Parts: sequence; C-alpha cells; structure tokens
Amino acid sequence: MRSFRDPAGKLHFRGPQLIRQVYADQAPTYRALVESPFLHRLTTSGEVVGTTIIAAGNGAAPPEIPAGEGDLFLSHDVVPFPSFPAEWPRQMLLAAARLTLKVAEESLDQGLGLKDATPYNVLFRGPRPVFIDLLSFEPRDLRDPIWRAQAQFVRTFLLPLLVAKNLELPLSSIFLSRRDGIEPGEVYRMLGPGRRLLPAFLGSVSLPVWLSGKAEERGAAMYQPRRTSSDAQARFVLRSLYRRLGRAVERAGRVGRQKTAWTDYCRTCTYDKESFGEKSFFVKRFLDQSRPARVLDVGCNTGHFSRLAAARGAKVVAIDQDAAVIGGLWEGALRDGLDILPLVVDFARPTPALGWSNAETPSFLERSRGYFDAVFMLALMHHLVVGDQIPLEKIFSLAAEVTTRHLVIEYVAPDDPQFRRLSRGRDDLYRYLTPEFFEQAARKQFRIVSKAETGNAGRVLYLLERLHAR
Amino acid sequence: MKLILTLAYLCLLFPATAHAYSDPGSGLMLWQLAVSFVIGVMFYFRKFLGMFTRFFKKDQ
Repeated sequence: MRSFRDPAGKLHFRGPQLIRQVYADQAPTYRALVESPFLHRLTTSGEVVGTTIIAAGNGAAPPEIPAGEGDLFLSHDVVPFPSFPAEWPRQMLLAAARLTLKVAEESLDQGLGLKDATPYNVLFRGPRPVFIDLLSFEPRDLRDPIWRAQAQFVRTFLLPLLVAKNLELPLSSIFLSRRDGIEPGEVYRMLGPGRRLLPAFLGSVSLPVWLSGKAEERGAAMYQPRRTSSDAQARFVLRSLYRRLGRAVERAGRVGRQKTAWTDYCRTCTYDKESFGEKSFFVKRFLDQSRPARVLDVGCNTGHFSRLAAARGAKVVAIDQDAAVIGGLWEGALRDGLDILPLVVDFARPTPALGWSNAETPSFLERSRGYFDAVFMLALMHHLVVGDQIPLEKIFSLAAEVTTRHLVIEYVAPDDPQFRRLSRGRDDLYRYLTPEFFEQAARKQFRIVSKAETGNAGRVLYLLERLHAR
Repeated sequence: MKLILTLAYLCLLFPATAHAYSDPGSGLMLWQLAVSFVIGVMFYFRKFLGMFTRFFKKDQ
C-alpha cells in the first residue's frame, strides 16, 4: 500500500527497506509510542509491524529523503508479499477486523486510539495478520467517548462480511470497485423490507439509513466534541463499543462449511490414490533437491502442494479463484503454523492496480514478477486453455515472468475426463494439444529438466527451468 | 442492556422525515452517539449491573 493520505508522515520505499518519515510536530508522540512497553509487546507478538527509530531530532536523516527540522525517521520490518482485502477470503477479513479491534481496545489504557479503521492497515505475514499503520495510533481526548473511525470500521469490515455472508456477494466485488468499503445505504437497497428488520442489519444498516435524515438536520453540530464526566466513563463506553463491534463481526464472519465445486476436489477428482502419490513424490523430490525459498502455487485448490513446499521451509503464496477453498487453506495454515499466504486470485484475471494514479495497491503481477523462484501449475493447464481461452505459449511466457527459475507444470491431455468436462464436446478444437506441442511451446522459455508420467489419463508432470535465469 | 437497546431501536424505527440527499456515514455517527449515550448512562449503574448479572449466573 503506497500510503500518502496521512498528513502526519510519509512512507519511503528504499529497495528492501521501508522508511517512515514522521513530521516534526508529531515526532514526539510517535517517538514515545515506539519506545513504549505497550508497542514493544505488540511488535514482539508480531501483531504490530516491527519498528525501530533510525534517526530523530537533528540526527542524520537517510540520504535522498528531504527532511524537515525535527522529523523522525523509523524503519519498519518489511512484510513480504503485500496482499489486499479484494484478495482475502472472509476468514482473513475477519482476522484483520479482530486484530484492529484488539489493538484499539489495548490502546485505551495507554490514552491512545485509532484514527482510522480499514483493512488496508493490516497485511498478512504468511497466514498471520500484522497491523502495519503506526500513524493510525493517536493520543485521544481522555474524556471523548466517541470513536470517529467507527463508521469506517462498519463500512470496510462489518458490512462487507455481512453482505458476503447473507447476500453471497464476493468480497472482491466490494473491494475492487470501492475504495472505502460499502455504505449502509447501498446495503439497504440490496435488502428486502423483511431483511432490513433482522437484528444483523438493524443496527449497522437500517437504523443508520433511517437516521441519516436526522443527522443531516443536525449538520456539523453532530461532530462537535463530546465529553464524559470522567476518563473511566469514556473508556467504559469505548470498550463496550469495541466489544459490540467484535461480536457483530464474529457473527457476520462466521463461516459454516462451504461446499463449492472445488472444496471436495481432492476427494472427488479423477486422481486415484496411487497416481496422486506419484504426483506428490515428483513435487517432493523437486522441493528436496532445489529448496526453493519462495513458491507461487497457482490454482492451489486445497493446498496439498503448498503444504509440501511450506513444510520444507518455503514461503508460499497460494492462489485460487475459489474463496471457499482459500478460506479453508488459510485456517489450516494458521492452525499448523505453515508459512502459506492463501489469496483469492484468478491467474487469468489477476488483481489490477488500484487507487490514485493506479499506484496505491500494485497489481498482483507487479508484486509477483521475479519474486518467486518456483511456480506450481498443477492440474491447471486445461482451465486456462479451455476455460479462459489462453494460448499455451502465453501461459509459458507469463510463468517465465513470474518465476526466476523453476516451473512445475502438469500436462493435461485433451482426452482427459477433466479436460473433456471443460471442453464440452468441442474435442476437435483441442486435438493439436499433444505432449509434443506442449514441449515445443515450453522450450521457447524453459529447458525441460525432468518429466514423469503419472499413470493418470496421459497426464505428464514437467520440471522446467528458465532459459535465461535472472 | 439488550432490553434498553431494543427500546432504543423501537423508538427510532419510524423516522419522522425523509430527505432526498443523505449521508449514510452521518447516520452511523448519530447511531453511535445514541448508543454511547445509553452506555454512558449505564456506566453509573455498572456495579449494580454487575451484581445483577452475577446473581442470575449464580442462579443458573
């Protein structure tokens, strides 16, 4: 996230280093925060991004950065492979909401609050959420019982979760087309008259919509500071608000067992146990020999191969277009402590660059190019070739942009039952897709290191290496 | 607390006026003000409420 909205400071990306400049007038506040035991505890637990002071006051500012008198410079630990809410399953948005509320509640006793509450303040390190926006912390008026970021929290966490659960609208459709979540008015129009009265929608959608007329009458007077008679009373009101929001997101984010075409794939697909074992053996042997550090598993499904890679020490980004399987993989990775970042991304239509100048959240491919040293494309070829009508050559050239070295890809023959299910009787169109044609297309970008037949309807596994290693 | 909030909901169920333009964010703010007011009042009865809930929990 290329942040520039906060007037208190600025982020500088210097190669692998991430430097935060805090302007002089706010510098003492954030210096005290970074040095506090409170922040130390949250950074040690990994819930807030690791931060150190590199220069303060008249200390030497990093070169090339124009510094004002008294600016504070902080260095943040870099979270590898940033991801954005449009790419998260519901479980991950819920985890980000929980973390935001936890940080807000724990700030209360420190005399701090969060000035904003958006999923863009959270990134995922593997499956674990990390709060990254240090400047979101602000000293609060100790007697102010109002959390001004509450509306943003509702728009960007609670309502997307509610809509995803009750109206089955994918989160990507909310976050790709809207910068700051979904408004209660928009949700209100999607609901029928009966649903508007349901407890889940009453407090977060219907009442705010009905009240907006009254709120307009009050105008700016509504935003005048309000003060309670004691600090403890303000804390009591805020704590109660955070907990109520917490219960609301838990209810909205609760995911029952979702069943889609893919959740049972591993059990129902055409692979019998023996040939699936051979496929696993091929992948394991590659992992043991080459020890890739960063793996992209495209079309990961339940994440069997991502798990194999993560168990051998790789940092894995696992993508699939099915939010239900990605949600399940995230839960599993978190439970088993595996370094897997599962994302809802369709490789044929990857997440675009978004925001001001298209530069606030970089596209999925911009983040991926040259980042991975191995890419898996297992049981994927037929989806791209038939489902998305992508020529084989283009698949190889994009794979060569993403991986710096290896590609593990599975050839699926046109007479494979899964292939035929997708081609729906248009078999003649794909007759040209012989193993020879596949290898010829691969050789334009890659060298064939090894191949193995899986004993499954003519499927062949290939280990390829880029011709021009980066 | 649920009862108080339900009563508050009911009071607000029927808006007196409707406006062509409205800012839904301001509605969320006004709702937060209303709930905060109720919770703020409950602050003074928190000890009493605590005893009340403990009494019922013990009863169960």
